[in-house]
Amino acid sequence: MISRKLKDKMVHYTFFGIATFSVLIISFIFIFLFVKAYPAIDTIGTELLSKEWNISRNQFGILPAIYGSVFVAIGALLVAVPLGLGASIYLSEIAPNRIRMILKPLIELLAGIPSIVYGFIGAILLGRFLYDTFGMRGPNSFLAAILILGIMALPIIVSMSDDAMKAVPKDLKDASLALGATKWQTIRKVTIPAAISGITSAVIMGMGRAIGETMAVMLIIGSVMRMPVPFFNVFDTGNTLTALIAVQMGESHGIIINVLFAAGIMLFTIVAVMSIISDILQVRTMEIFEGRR
Amino acid sequence: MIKKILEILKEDCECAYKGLPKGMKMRVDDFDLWYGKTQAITSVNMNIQKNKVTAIIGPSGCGKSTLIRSFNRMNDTIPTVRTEGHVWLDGYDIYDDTADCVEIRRKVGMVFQKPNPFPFSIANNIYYGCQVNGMDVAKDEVVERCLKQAAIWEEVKDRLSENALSLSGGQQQRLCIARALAIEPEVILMDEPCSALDPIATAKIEDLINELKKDYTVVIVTHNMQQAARVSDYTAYMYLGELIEFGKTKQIFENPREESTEKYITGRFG
Amino acid sequence: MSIRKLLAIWIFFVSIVISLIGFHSLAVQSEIEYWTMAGSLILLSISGHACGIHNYSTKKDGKNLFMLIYGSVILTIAALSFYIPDVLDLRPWEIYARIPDHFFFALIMLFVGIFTSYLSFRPYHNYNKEGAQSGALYVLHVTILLTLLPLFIIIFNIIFRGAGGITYEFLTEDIVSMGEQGGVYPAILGTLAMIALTAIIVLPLGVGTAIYLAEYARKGLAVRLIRTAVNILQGTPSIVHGLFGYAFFVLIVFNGQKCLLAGALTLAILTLPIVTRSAEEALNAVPGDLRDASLALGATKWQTIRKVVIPPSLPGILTGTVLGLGRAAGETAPIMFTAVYFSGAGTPRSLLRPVQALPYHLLSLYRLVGYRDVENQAWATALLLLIIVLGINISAIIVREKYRQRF
Repeated sequence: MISRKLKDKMVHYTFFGIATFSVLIISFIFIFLFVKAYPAIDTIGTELLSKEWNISRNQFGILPAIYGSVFVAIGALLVAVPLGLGASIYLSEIAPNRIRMILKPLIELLAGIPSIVYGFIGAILLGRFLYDTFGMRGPNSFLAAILILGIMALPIIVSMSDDAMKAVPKDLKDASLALGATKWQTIRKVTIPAAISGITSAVIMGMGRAIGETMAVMLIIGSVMRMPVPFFNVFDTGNTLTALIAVQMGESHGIIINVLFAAGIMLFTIVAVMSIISDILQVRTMEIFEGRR
Repeated sequence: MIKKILEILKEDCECAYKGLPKGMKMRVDDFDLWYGKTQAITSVNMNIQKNKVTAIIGPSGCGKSTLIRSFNRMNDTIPTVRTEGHVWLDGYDIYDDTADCVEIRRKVGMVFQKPNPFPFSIANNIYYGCQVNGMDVAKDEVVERCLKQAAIWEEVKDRLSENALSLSGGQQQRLCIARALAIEPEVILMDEPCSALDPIATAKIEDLINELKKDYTVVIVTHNMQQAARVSDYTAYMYLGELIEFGKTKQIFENPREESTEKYITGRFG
Repeated sequence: MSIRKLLAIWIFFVSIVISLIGFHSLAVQSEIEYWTMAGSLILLSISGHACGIHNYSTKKDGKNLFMLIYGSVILTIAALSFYIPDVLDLRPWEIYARIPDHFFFALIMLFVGIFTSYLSFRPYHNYNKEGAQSGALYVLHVTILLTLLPLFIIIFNIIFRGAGGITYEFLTEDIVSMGEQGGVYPAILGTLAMIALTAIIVLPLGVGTAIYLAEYARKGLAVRLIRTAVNILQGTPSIVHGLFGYAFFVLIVFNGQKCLLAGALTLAILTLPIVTRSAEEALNAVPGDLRDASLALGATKWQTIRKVVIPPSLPGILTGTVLGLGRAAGETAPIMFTAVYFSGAGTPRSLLRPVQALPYHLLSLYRLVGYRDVENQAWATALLLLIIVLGINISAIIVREKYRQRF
């Protein structure tokens, strides 16, 4: 019979082994994306970052897609941040407990709706609506993508900033109230500044979701590999990294597949950097408050 | 300033008014408080004299913190709390329907059990109260006056722009007292201000309380009987949500009328 | 009730009506005439002037002139909007779009309405900090309504347009002629099989990782690395998971064959961080003294975890897993290159054969909208997908709320 102590050690190492899986998967993702993308990087080189995309002339510049990704993500934030912040302040500081218990799960449900459903609704309802109002060339546009992505980023921003503001110790808020500040002054001058890194991290996560979103964008962005003219034209069609991959993957072969993997690396790197920044900010928030005592 | 506020109070909320005898700052009348269905305070009556230190003592869980938080309506921040009865401040009922909580808290400052400075600079911590109350004062003057009054000026005068969280526990608590002084309150409530501090820091705060009573009315909650005996002029003894005995500190400690009080102060409690 | 308050309430009421007219015009694309907009703004402006004059006459203070000045601003806006052209054609600036004037009018009414109702709290509260607070709280209430609005629009549209299409045949029949006729039976089975398989793969991995992080981990480089990896994995876009699944599972492990197992493995990677995080949270919620008590009785660490820590955190762990599966059930991008066929996959018979899945079926149907008569089928599929995914999520949330107050 194995001694209890030995058995305990073995269990410990088993769990350690399981836990390293995540690290393993991340490195596998990076390695395999790189292996598949290498032919494209090797033969095309820096031309990958040009803005000319023409398959018949062997031009594979993915800059329009990168620009599109960033453009829709920033636009989505402009929609989602003001609304999301307001809603999260309401949820965490003002809503009575009974209403909060209903609204928080409702907003989590909003996050649970599959992205293909958002895309479907966006294309059928929103796309046609914008087309009727503004008479663009067709129902697809950056504007539609921005609005849908804004709605999709909302729940993340709301629930993460709600958590950040809930984490601000109650005695800080009490101290401010005891000094004769109104509830609103307390929120504006104590709660929000104290939770600012958590809120920033929420906004970054929301942007990450907007950049990484595939199905919804793919159905309404138009998938045209070209920079919008002029560069801020929200009524134009365009492309994003995710839509480029999703649309081209099924109908291409040869070097294009490798180009798509290079686009995948680009996407993965952008989002990974954002997760790391957001994570650091969150840890910092906790340290500020735990370091107090 | 105070007159102006009184005028506004009178004009805007027409609070119930009841003259208080001279020398009396606050009066608690048949005050009850419930957390949901549990009653935490049962018909408390007491008077708080102007420019005196009143201590509230009692075993833990007797409702003394709840009571002191009722004096500036801080209990309003807990959703399930319900109250009955009156607390008169300068003759105005702070539990009147038309009373303005925010204005009351400006007049009745509070120092909490745990030091809770804001994560701003030391100077901004002090100035915060003036800012939110729209007081037109020079920042440097207020900061210096309050820090001097709280006897911490010498220790921090060279690091006013540092984050307040970098101070030690005792310094943080004195900073919190200085912060409460900045809005020129009339009454200062202290909810076990020394419970998280070491003996040396505690002694400093006790000296400070003795200084403060020249200008302010002080109410202090403490679980430390020696402290109550050292700093206070009047003492209230609470047990299970009821006020058992209230009187001059000397009388309570030397010649208690109730058996329960005597047991508690002689340590034969429970 | 003083005149000051009555005037403020009147302004609030008028501006709410104005913003609702603007909102209605935006939502149903009904046209607003110039004089409708200008007339309502002039009414608002007169009220603002009245309020300002009254306030200033009762108290001669700069603050009390506020509504008077604001009333003039509204009047200016109304006058300037007269110069908005019938249709603002953006084509001269190389932008292919035209903005009709009633769109601008609706926007003006919406924003002026909301902003004025926000400002009306100030005269009501005598321009003090209480007024600033009430105004801000009012704006927060508006934002929470606007946040919930899309949820209701989406859910109502899907229910009303999709409910008619869900019949017994729709649920039990094979996909016929690319979804135009028949049902979605194979897609339902495919989705269910896929998430069941995902659950089997992800549970031991996710819970194991969580147990290590919550119970064994000390501060150090390895732990930091694992946590960062979990966080990155959580943020990784689903399309990247799809690319990886294609490059690794399909091309290398299964020799170029798209199949159920490859899809489930990819989805398992996608859900791993969700399961890990919520399981870790559940384990951390178990108070430390329970562990100490067990260890003090001579139990080993593993015995303690198995008998004392895991049982009370089981509901939390299950909730997290179910939430993860809810996400997996609705994902399209990760299975698109790894598991599903456009059509003809049939009901799943083997782990190593391709399947059909609901989200992908919805995508295929959408691509046929306009070419074939599939729109009703697509709405019904969307509703079905929503019912499955939200059903999973709601059950998880209910379990969580029920067991939340354990400690």
